[in-house]
Amino acid sequence: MRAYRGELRKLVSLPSVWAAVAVGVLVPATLTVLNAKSAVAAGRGGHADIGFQELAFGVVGAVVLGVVAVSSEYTTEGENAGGGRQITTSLTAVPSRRRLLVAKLTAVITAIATLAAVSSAITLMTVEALLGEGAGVSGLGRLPGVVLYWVLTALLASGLTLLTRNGILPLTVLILNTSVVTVTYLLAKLTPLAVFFPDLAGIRMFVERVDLPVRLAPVTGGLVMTAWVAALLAAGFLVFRGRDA
Amino acid sequence: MTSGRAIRAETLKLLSLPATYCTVLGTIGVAAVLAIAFSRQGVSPVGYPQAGFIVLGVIAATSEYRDGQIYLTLIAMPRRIVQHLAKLGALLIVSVPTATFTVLVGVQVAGGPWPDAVGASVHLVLTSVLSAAVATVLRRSVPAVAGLLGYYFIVGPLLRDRVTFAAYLPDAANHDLAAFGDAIIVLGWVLVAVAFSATMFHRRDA
Repeated sequence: MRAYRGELRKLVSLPSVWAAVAVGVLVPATLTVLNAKSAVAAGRGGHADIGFQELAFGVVGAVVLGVVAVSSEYTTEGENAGGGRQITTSLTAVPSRRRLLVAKLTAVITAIATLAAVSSAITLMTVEALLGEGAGVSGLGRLPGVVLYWVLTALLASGLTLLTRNGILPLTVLILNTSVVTVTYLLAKLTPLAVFFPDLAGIRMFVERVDLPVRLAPVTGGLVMTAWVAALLAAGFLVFRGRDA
Repeated sequence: MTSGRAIRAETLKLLSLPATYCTVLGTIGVAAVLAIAFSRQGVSPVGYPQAGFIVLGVIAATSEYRDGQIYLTLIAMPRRIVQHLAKLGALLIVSVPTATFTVLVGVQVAGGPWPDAVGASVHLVLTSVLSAAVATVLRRSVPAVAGLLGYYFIVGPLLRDRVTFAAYLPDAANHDLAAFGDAIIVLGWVLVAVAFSATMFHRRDA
């Protein structure tokens, strides 16, 4: 419990985490405003996924937070701070690697679940304010899907960073794959198997209209994504336990 | 004479980083694989490879700040503006061949008009210089990579169809590679960014 509190404090003290929070809130909200305005200008109401597709882009905030939570342990401090790394201090304070990792991941889950809830509330209120007629409220049942998707994506990012110990590679891969036309989406045009990639499967938890060859049910999509995350975290834990800090 | 040696020193430093080789080879490799896989879907040859050039620019700038290398660098070369420009020159020495090769592979595999290839290479090189300038101001690789990739791959493409000023942003040349005007806009942004980063680097403590 105290390890968990320590990890939460570490997260709160990182400027990158606050930047990630800002991105996670501002990106979906701004996009929703732009999209809703163009929908109103074109004289049509929002479609079923307005707000939710924008939340799928906001997940980049979760990616950054998940990466930074792990990679910040491994950045070398400046020469005037002794040139050390946070991870040596962390392992001195919590020598059990399993406990340290569990505490860290729980802290990440807490932060992301809060961020996702706040961000979706703001986004859906924006939809409601701009389009009215219950356009924002009608999707409330899909909110747990959004929160779960953000949490799983952040854990995926943390798991990848545990393997690489450096933020650049996981950030590149995951941000590229959050872009407007993602690599996995293009792969899905080549082979139907690509719908089992974690992002395409996970997005089915809350986006209804997707142009994919195989339509997974929301629960199946969630399970597929969870399986990916579990596998990556297990690999990350084994590597983290086995190697020198 | 001094500037020649400064460029030589910076090139040696950049080429001594394993991360440089990983990025260059990774970019060319991934670009080739994606070009083969998606050649029929009209994927632009600069789309995804841009990420590699962003990372290359960031690494070139932030590697100085990881282990206090910057102190040694400034002892050896106290003239900061010259040092900064030499660093960008060294980056050009690495990124120009990489960009040419990446684009040639893409055009060879996917087929495409040759004039576009020149525009695409220039765009990739300018992207790496812009990234190095941004990373010099930020000094840390993770925020620089996250910010630049987030802009180039998420914010930029989403703004493109929705707001009118998007045509004047630094990723403008993304949509029309052969357009001369767009290249000028990107070049303008690069000059502004380099001037800003050089001023910051000159005035700030190391």
